[in-house]
Amino acid sequence: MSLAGNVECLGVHVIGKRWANGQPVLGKIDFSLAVGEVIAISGPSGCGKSTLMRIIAGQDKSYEGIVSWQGGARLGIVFQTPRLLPWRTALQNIALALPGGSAEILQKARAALDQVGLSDALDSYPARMSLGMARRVALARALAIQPDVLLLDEAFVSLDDETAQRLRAVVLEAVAQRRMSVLMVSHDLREAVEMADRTLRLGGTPARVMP
Amino acid sequence: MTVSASDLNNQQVNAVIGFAKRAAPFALLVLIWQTVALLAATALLPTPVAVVTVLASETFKGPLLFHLSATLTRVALCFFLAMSLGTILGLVMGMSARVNHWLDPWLQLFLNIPAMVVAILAYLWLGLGEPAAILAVTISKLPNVVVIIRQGARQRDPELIEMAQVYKFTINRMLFDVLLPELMPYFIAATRSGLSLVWKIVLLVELLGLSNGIGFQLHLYFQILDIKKILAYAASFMFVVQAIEMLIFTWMDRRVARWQR
Repeated sequence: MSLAGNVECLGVHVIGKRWANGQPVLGKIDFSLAVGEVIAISGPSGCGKSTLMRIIAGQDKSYEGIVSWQGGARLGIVFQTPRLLPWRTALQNIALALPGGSAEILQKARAALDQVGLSDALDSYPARMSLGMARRVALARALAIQPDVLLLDEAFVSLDDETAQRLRAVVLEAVAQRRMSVLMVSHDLREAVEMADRTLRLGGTPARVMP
Repeated sequence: MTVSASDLNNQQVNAVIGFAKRAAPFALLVLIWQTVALLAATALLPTPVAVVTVLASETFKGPLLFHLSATLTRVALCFFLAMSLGTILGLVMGMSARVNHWLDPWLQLFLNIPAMVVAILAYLWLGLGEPAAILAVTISKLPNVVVIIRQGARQRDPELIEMAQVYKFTINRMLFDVLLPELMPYFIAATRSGLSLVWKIVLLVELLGLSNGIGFQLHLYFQILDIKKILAYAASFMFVVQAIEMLIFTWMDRRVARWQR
């Protein structure tokens, strides 16, 4: 059963996006994400899914169209690569993303690591972590800021089944409890079906939402 | 786990053996020097024992500490100035292609001016004295810092900056948790190559135009051909430099080693 309401928290109205050499990547892509809704974006590799995520996250501003956020919406992102600061421990990496005083944020960071099953890796540096561990820390960081919208860019790739399953459950729990919205890029059809209220399939050149 | 007395003794013994191993080549060199000096029996090559005797008397009864501290103060000041100015310039040049376009020819020029020329010109234009000396050393060291830090700024990871922007890092966190740690290996490189350069140039400017410092003393004893004193002053300086470098680099390496693979 879907918890999706009708209140829109993110509106994506992309008309087009070209690379610097003029080659078109994205065509017309138009959808909105409601509060508490989970949308999966699927499509062949290289079709522009990550480019679309960068546009939505505000990291790529050279496109035609509008991405509109509900005022004050907090955004958490899990990137394709974990993007942890190599010179900070797991705990510090999460604490740094949190606003506020140090005692309070350390407590929140600990709770976040506990949620992804890494409470014994607080003081590990990223270089000593496996890729799977680093991905879990990245997810913990994104959830720790209590986002209104969570963007997941293939966040569960290269995790073992059991861990991936556990992390999906953690995300869905936040959706159920706080009515967090999720926009996820996924190759995995099973994952998309399990987690998402609906799936947008991107395809074609330039990429559009396929019917 | 408990540490027994015999473990501690073993550790101490190992530490002593380790130290002896490292000191052995140095001891051998001193031994050869002593032998050759005794065989040659000339005023041009005093024995190490004689040099150490002079070193001790200059330290405790003579002006060595005064001159040593004058030199070290200059080194510290020049090093600080060159590192901070060089870091700012290197960062700006590494991040902005336009600034780099305008400043790079100057950088190449200054990289290739001999320190001696800079020192002579500084003394001629500003007069003999402290300001000219500090300026000359700083200018000679600066390009080297700029080149290394610029390299670091160019090789920054744009993905980490994006991450920090997405998570709305404050300026403080951006600076102290992202930017500076990322540049740390380049700071270490600049410090390593830089300190040894600054030591040498400071002696040069002291010799050319100041009236105190190790360089000045070397010049003085060169004029009166007092080889024992020349060696004593040179040795005192080398010991101190070696000790400071070891302390600084051990500390820096340890900080970086914590998070590197």
